[in-house]
Amino acid sequence: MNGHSDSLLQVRGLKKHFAARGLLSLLSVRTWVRAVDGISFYVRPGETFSLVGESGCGKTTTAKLLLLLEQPTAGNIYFDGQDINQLKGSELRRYRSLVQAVFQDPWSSLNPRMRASSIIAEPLVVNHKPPKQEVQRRVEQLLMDVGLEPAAAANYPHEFSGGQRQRVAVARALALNPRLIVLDEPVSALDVSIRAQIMNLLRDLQRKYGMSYFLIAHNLATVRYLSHQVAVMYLGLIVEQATSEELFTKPLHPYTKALISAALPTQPGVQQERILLSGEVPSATHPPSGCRFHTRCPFVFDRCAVEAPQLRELAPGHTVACHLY
Amino acid sequence: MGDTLILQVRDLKTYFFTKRGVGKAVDGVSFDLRRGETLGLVGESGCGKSMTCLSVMRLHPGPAARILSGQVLLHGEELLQKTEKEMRKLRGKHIAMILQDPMTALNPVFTIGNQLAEPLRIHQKLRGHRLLQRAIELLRMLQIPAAESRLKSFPHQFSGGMRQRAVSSIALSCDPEVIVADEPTTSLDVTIQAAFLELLKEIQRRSNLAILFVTHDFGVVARMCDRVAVMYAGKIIETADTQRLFSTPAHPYTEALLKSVPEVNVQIDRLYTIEGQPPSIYDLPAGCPFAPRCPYVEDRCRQEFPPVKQVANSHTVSCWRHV
Ligand SMILES: Nc1ncnc2c1ncn2[C@@H]1O[C@H](COP(=O)(O)OP(=O)(O)OP(=O)(O)O)[C@@H](O)[C@H]1O
Ligand SMILES: Nc1ncnc2c1ncn2[C@@H]1O[C@H](COP(=O)(O)OP(=O)(O)O)[C@@H](O)[C@H]1O
Ligand code: SF4
Ligand code: SF4
Ligand SMILES: [Mg+2]
Ligand SMILES: [Mg+2]
Repeated sequence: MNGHSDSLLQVRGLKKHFAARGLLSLLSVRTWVRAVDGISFYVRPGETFSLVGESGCGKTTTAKLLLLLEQPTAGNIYFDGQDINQLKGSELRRYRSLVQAVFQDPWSSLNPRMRASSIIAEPLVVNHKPPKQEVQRRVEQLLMDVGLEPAAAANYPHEFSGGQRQRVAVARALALNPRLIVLDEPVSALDVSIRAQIMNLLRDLQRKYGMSYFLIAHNLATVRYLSHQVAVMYLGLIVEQATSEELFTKPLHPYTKALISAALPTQPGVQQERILLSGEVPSATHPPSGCRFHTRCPFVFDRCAVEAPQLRELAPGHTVACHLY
Repeated sequence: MGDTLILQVRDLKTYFFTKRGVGKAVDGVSFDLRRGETLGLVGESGCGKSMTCLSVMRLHPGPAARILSGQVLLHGEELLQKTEKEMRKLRGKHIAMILQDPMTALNPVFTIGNQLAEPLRIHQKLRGHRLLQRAIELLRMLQIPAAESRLKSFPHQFSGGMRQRAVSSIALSCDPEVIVADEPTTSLDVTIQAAFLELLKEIQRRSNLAILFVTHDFGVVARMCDRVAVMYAGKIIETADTQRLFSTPAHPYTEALLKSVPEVNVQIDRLYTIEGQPPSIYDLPAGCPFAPRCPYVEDRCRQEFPPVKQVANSHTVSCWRHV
């Protein structure tokens, strides 16, 4: 296996196609939703790798593949050099404990009938069956790590605010000392003033414990704040990837530029190059020919509709799929 | 013409009466809206933005929600004294609302064309060919492609962005003077949102529309609004011109909010945070509702709600620091 020896997680040529429901499948015409259509990337230890892109482009599907909640149609995911879809027995259990997740909705992701202490301790108890006292000590430590009072252990989810619930979800994800945490829109359901609290918490925990994050967010400012590497996805494909700094200061792909220009500056009167896109996001069932972005791209030319651009490295560590370059 | 007052809201109070007690959802809200102007109403979830809009439209969810007092003047006419029948005549024609979730605003069993035709038939008495022409014109104005054939589509056959434009075309159909838009783009993707906002501004420029624009996104405020009113726990705590609010916020909450929002074009090392969370409307603290989280809190803040003070031209704030 080639690749980057310093990576924790490597994804190569990953695809996930779903059989489409709806009218056509009733007529037994086989159509596929090409949710993820051949993506490759790697995540380094202690770093945050982020996927950005609009609704339906395949971000959550990618996360589910990493979490073994879906089987890939093609491609491989390697963790510590091992293909995660080949893992069995104790190695599979080890993977499941080293890779944890925090989801968007802190209202539905926690079991309403369990106290915070049991929610947080559950992965620990299931995996290691430690003595009661040790569990209690660990829960206290975890609550402290996420900025909650030890007394919060006795509360049920409905007794917490949205931000506090997300803290409980983070504590649970930390319980087994994971090396990777998948964060699917961890702050987008939270209020503005609470969002900053959770973003700082995530950043502090990474600095303290050195785990990697696989972050999904549609808010680019959130991504910029937390990420080391960023990949931009459009209709199942990565169209641009670079370090966070490079991507936000020197975006090259027209779609990335449009996304950044749409992520309005929070100051009035700050003028910047605006790239407005016309048209709707095409369906992942019938992605456009050639460059999938060509139906909305302001720079489209002849070649774009016929030939799919390949990802090319235009600067060290900065790859782009666009015929302009 | 650009400076004529069209909507005035004075000391509006809408409370919830439930098993939990009395919830002060809207607790003495006042603002003015002028022709051709966009006033942003910003604040965190639950602070009372939607209830303010619904109360102005007289669409608040009764019987639990009751408007206790205040005035809502449209062209100087008091809306709170009108009967439901009189309100129905006004809604759509003079003042219309765009809801946050376009799916709840549209009826799934009727075509877009049907839903668009209804207000045109009622308010503008259009029939037949002229009705059809106007409906097509409206969809075109909102840049819905293939407008003629789209009239026969059902809401679920539209994408999110198209639904929001369909809802907006219905709201704009009878040329209202005021649009109340409650987070109209929150459910949209960013590139679709950007296009929608441009379109709305364009329509506003053409028809001198006044817009009350609810959002919790300061980026959207920066792009859309002429003036901003910041809400916290049922009250407007600061109002200013957009530029002024961003450059010199006067209220500690506004200041803290602006500092805690990360920006896409700057890399920062640490986000500023406001500790704690907004109070429950069923259990508001005495005095200033921001006091439990405020870094500048003093004794009198906990005793009495600060009066509204003008700190500059068209810049008002409710905070004891400015009294
Ligand atoms: N189980 C499934 N069966 C069929 N199609 C699916 C399934 N799960 C996802 N899809 C489709 O795959 C595509 C990618 O979905 P995914 O959930 O990964 O998007 P996303 O990027 O996470 O979007 P969002 O930002 O809205 O969360 C979409 O077109 C979606 O409708
Ligand atoms: N139908 C209802 N019954 C009881 N309380 C409600 C209802 N709708 C809203 N509220 C309460 O009224 C307050 C203001 O709500 P809302 O105006 O919807 O806030 P915003 O739009 O600013 O998020 C909130 O505390 C909310 O919980
Ligand atoms: S390949 Fe062509 S259509 Fe695609 S992004 Fe580049 S210029 Fe636009
Ligand atoms: S009145 Fe007092 S507590 Fe309220 S915002 Fe002003 S200084 Fe802070
Ligand atoms: Mg998703
Ligand atoms: Mg609301």
